[in-house]
Amino acid sequence: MNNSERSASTVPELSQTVAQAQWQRVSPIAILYFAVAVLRFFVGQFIYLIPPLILLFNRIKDNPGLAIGIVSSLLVLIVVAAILKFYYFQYRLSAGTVEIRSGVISKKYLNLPFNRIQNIKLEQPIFYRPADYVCLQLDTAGSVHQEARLVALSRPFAESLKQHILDSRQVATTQTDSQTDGQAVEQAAPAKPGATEQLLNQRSLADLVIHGISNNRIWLFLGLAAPFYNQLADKILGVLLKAGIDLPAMFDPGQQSWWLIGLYALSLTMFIMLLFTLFSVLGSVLSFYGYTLHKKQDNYIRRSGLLTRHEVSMKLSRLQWVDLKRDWLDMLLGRVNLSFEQINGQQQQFATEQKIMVPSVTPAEASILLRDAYPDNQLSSISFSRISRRFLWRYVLLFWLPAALISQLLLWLQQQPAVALLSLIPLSLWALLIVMRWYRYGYAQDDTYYYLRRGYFGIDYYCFAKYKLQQVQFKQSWLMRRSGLCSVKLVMASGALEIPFVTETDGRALLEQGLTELQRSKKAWM
Amino acid sequence: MSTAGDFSNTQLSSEQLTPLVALQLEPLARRYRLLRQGVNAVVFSLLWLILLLQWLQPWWELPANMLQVVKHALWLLPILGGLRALYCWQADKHKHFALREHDISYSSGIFFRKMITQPVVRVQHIELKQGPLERKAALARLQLFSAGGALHTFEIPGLHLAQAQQIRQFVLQHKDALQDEQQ
Repeated sequence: MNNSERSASTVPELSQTVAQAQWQRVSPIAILYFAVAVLRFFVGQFIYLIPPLILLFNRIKDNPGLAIGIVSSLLVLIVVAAILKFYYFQYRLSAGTVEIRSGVISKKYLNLPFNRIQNIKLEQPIFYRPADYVCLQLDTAGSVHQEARLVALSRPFAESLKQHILDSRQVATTQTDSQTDGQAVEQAAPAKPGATEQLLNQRSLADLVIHGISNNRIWLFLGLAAPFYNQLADKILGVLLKAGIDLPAMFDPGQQSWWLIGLYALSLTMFIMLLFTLFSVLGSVLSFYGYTLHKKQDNYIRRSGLLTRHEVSMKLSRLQWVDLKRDWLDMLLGRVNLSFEQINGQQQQFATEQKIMVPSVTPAEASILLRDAYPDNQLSSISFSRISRRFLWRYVLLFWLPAALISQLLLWLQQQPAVALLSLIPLSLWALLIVMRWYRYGYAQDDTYYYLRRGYFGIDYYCFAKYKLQQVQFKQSWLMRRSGLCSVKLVMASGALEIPFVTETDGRALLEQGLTELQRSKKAWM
Repeated sequence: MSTAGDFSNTQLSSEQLTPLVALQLEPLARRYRLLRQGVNAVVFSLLWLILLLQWLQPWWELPANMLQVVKHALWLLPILGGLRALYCWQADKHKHFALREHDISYSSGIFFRKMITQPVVRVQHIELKQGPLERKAALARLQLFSAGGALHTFEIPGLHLAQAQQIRQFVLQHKDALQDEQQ
């Protein structure tokens, strides 16, 4: 192929056959990479040992020799492991495949043909930046999960390799297509490998601050910090006491009047919320700093990150659905989080890395991005159908009412009128949530796309092509059947979406038309 | 993205298409129902026998409260077993499957009816599974895996082995099946 020759000239190994190709090592800077990986592994394995270690800190202070011994031997271990890992990590490039040999004790060999590669990711940890090295990650999705990492390549080399893989994939697909179509290859000749990148979107620091405020990711931090709560609380109380603030006394009903305690509680909550928001903004800037979204031929490329620069690219044909999510805060600030979701696989932890998210764009920018991916979509103009009111009855009668009755009854029986009255607040909030959920639910379809709207106080829109369906489900309880309702579930490679309580005719039409379209279009889902 | 050049989209008259609602559903093998009943009966009888032995055995004294538990369990267990047998019988009666030209459907549920439809084009791989008892009864479970994830594996239990093999053949020979593999 003309095309592969051209890009192979930039990576000479790629024109070799497997027999000619030589095994080679990555740059020695990979030792650092492996060291960090080993360290991370240790921390991950022994995270639960950290609290006892903190408790033993005084003991360790008395006996520094032993501690230094342990720490230094651990360091030596890490360095040796990293060097060994580097030494045994070898890769070989030849025409059409990449092979990787790795592992010190248990050896691993991976042979990955280029046309099996789903995703190419470039990652640049901060210590790679001075010498401009990158880690090239090749993903294959589908039923067998394999992942190849070429841990330290110079950026120009990685870029040209990436381009070559993308091109060879394109050639392979056009070839198979033209075989089935009976058309000449020249007609569908792929675009030039040097095609320029088109900037679709970029995020400024202000956008990221807005994103941090409206998308509080503090729960993540809180979850991670859970083992340390007790120590942390004691420490904080100690520090506050030194600063002349006695929290336990402030909240002691014996010493203070009720309204004062309430005031304290309010200001404390405000203060904590402020702190959380700061953390969240920090997190947002860390992960999205310098965010750009480019489009090159049919590939979306996302680059971002303050410390570790991530580069994720996704082929447009891998796109499963586009969602536009707005929290209530996003609604107030007039922002939308748009994400291009692709194959989820079975592993949830990669879900965030797999999708291409554009944080906190304005609705106008969001619709431009959506239009770019799905030119003929009608999300902005289509009218959504409501789901049945019986949705409310189900959740109110089945969950809300029993919970409300039982809790009120118990509290009144136990002579706790104040608590009973207070509990009305969460109960009414819950009821409001149910109503809002019903109010937000909406669905629509046109010839090629499904549209789904849902949310509580915010609104999430989902837009996806019918031919991406993997499976459909039709559900109906006995009561729903009597009132001519059903729920449908649309399963895609990136997850499943359910539309509850639609009329049976609508539900069947949704499924039937989706299946027909899927069959007629004959398009591959990835 | 490829768009087939010779793609045709002529309109089909609605009589030609069988809507999901009008599918002729086929029941599962009768042997499957009997097998499930048998397994249920054996499990509950074994449990009951163990309890009975506890009650009758002369070797050691059970504490009084344990004795109470065993006594009640002795009459509760057969009732539970009977209820479960009844439920399984009814549930199995409501399990059906149907084939269309391009997809396979499986419906189940007594009160909460559910019909899953798996387009054959989206099947990634197929597994035919047989446990030891199923092997004895010449029954098989057919699993169709799509990219929808492990949660959405399409499974039809209790097929005659020959029937399961036929369906597998149907899926494999479907002209569009596994087309993604060619990429």
